[in-house]
Amino acid sequence: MINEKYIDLVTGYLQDTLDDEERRKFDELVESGKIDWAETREWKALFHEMGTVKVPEPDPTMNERFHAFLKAEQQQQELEQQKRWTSLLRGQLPGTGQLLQSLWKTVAGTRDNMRKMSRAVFEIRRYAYVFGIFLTGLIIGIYLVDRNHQEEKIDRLTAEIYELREMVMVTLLDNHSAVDRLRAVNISMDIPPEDQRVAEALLKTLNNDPNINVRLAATDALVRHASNPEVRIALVASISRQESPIVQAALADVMLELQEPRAVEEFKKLLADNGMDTLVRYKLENTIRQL
Amino acid sequence: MTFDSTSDNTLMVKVKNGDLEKLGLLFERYHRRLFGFFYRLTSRRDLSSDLVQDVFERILKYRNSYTGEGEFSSWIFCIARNLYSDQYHRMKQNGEYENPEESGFSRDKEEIHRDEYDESGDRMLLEQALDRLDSEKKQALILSRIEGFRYREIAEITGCSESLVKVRIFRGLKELKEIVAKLGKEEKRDRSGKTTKTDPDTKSNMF
Repeated sequence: MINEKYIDLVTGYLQDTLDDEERRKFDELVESGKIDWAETREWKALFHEMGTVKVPEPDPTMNERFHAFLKAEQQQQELEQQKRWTSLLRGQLPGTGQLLQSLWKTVAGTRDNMRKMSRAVFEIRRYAYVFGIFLTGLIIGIYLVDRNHQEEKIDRLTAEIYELREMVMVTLLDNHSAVDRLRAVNISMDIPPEDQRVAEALLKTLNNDPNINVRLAATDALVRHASNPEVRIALVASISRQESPIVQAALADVMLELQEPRAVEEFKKLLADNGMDTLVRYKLENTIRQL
Repeated sequence: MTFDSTSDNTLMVKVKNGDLEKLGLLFERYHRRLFGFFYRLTSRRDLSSDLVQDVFERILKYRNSYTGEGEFSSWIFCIARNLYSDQYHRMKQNGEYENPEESGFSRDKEEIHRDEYDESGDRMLLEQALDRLDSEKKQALILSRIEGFRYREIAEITGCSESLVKVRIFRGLKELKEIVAKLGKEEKRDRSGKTTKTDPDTKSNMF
């Protein structure tokens, strides 16, 4: 009979997990007769024999059941995604609702541009309502059409949402509040970089916005559009227009990231200004060296 | 957690992130093992198939709780074990549970052995003896010997300490040997035409 106080060694022996020290101790106990070797071997044989116990083949319908279940779950998932798109378009998702609310508050608070902005907002709301109705009708239409074309339709909806975002972004960029203009630059990050209008709006912001933070944000946002050669040329041209050392330094970082050698001449023009900040001078010289 | 795109953990993370198709791959990898696990515990083919299905439904339902820590195999068998435990309690409450000592060899197993008339008698005795072990010991032995889990992993799956797992393995094997010996004697007596008496000291399957 095997004493339970050797449980760790015996169970380790069964699973062949004894380390050298444990194995040595186990062997000593067996030799001294404290662990019944015959019984341990019987247990090991029984343990091993358990692996030969047979199991019938699973029911062949098990596969079919599982795949039917998985298909149903996938369809349910697609349905929920459609519902989410619908909510987004109706402005029920927090981001869109807040955006539109903020736009409305900003417009309502401006005395000088009230009439102009009201008209603009009215136009935007009208477009948003029209889009909302159009897209709702589209979604209902999609729902009634063959589900095999789901992906195509979702792509179309996605494109329309991007257009709506672009419209909101462009409108906010004209706003007097720097916070809203910053928000507009952030919205541009959710629009595909191939969008030419967005790139143009960001370049205009970089060159003309009175707020440094907004211009800095536009600089960062424009990196996404840098695969467009016209954007790269415009970014280089923007260098000499910048008076703020912070924006100049940010542009230097961008040019280095893009490895744009055409920026060298523009930086040299800036360096001709003796009144330039020392740290920015050092940064521009370093950038020229690396380009 | 491995970042191999085909590892179980990676597939499960993709399922968690919405790529439900990957659950099909995990099903292919695990359904037979799970079926075998359930069958050895329940001796019922239909119930084992149902439980396998339940495992994957539960995986999908609770996929957001998957953290990717540890081995996926331990996680899926933990779900399987919990489902079996729920099923066992349900069956006992509804009076559907068959005590193997009273009902004899299960119907499904008779089906297997009918086709293998020259099956080793010892193996049949071992199967009968396994059926008579209590559930916790049986699970520990199956997870260790058949599924190849280490004691630490079995502890995670069954929600107990590693020491307790070793105790169950130790006592389970001891009992298994005793039951096999007893069944062997009964069989010899049956073969020689003598009446078999039911031993009043024999334990019934209990948790």
